[in-house]
Amino acid sequence: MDEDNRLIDSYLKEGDESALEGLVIKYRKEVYLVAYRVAGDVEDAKDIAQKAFINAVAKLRDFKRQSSFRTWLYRIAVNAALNHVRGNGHKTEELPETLQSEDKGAVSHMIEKEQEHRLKGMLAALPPRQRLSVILRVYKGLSLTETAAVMGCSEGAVKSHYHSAIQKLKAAVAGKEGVN
Amino acid sequence: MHSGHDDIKDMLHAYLHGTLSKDNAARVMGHLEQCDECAGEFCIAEALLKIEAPDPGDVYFNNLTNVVMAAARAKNTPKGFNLWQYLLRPAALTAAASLSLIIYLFIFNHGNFHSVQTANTSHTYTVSDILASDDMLASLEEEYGDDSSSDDSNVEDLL
Repeated sequence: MDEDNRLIDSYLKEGDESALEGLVIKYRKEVYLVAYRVAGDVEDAKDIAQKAFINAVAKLRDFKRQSSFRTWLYRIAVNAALNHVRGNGHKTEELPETLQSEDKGAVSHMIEKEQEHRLKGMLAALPPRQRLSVILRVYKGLSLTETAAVMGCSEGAVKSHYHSAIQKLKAAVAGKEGVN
Repeated sequence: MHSGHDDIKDMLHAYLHGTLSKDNAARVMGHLEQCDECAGEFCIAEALLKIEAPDPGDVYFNNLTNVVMAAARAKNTPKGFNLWQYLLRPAALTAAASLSLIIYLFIFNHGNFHSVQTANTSHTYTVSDILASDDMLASLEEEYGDDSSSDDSNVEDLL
């Protein structure tokens, strides 16, 4: 993370464009993936990632380094994604009422492509903050503190959102009830 | 709940991403065998991680970088040396001020000329009027006699 700060300083103080380019190259895939997980659509994710980076560059002088650059950038990406999703109306996939499984305890069956598709649909159908907590914790491997910083809420709230999300996903996978 | 359940729960994602130390990884593995709640959460997270995101390709990512860099350059341009800001704008402002001053002076002088001319013309008209009235008086005197202080009867006749 010190490397990120060094690159930021190099760009802001010395006008070194290659430093900024290095930051973009380092995080472009991660930002795209966050955007894709939130929006659930490749084309939307491409637009969101671009908007997020342009927004981040425009605000770079406002980055106070209270969190890591990665966390700060994720927050911008998540906000851009949520705004995009709100603007377009959230397109969620039709979910099965329940997911029947012969072996209800065996989540390992979810590795099958069709079941992965269903799990993806279930994730997309979660309320935004619950979905975000899963995306940031599971996909991005952020700590509770980092997730709270990205989501702009307390660690307790992240725990609560994440717990609710996992319970709903577990229940849906086990075929007990729908996600909603 | 097992002892250290919350600690293990907090370590699940690090375990999932393979970033835990060997000791902690062993603790998590041991806990997952005993705790259904954590095992269920771990399985869900593991299944979610297996859902791949489509790769938009290098062309997109390279283009993304170019677009972002272009936006950064565009943003920084006004902060560097700017010909318009430092040379052309002051020159344009000076020219505009000079032109305004010239127009003002022209209007001011032109206006005074007219007012002087109007005053002269007015004076001329006054003299003309006097002359005209003298001519009129002369013709009246010629017609009605040389008594300039004509009496009321003559006036009445005139009327």
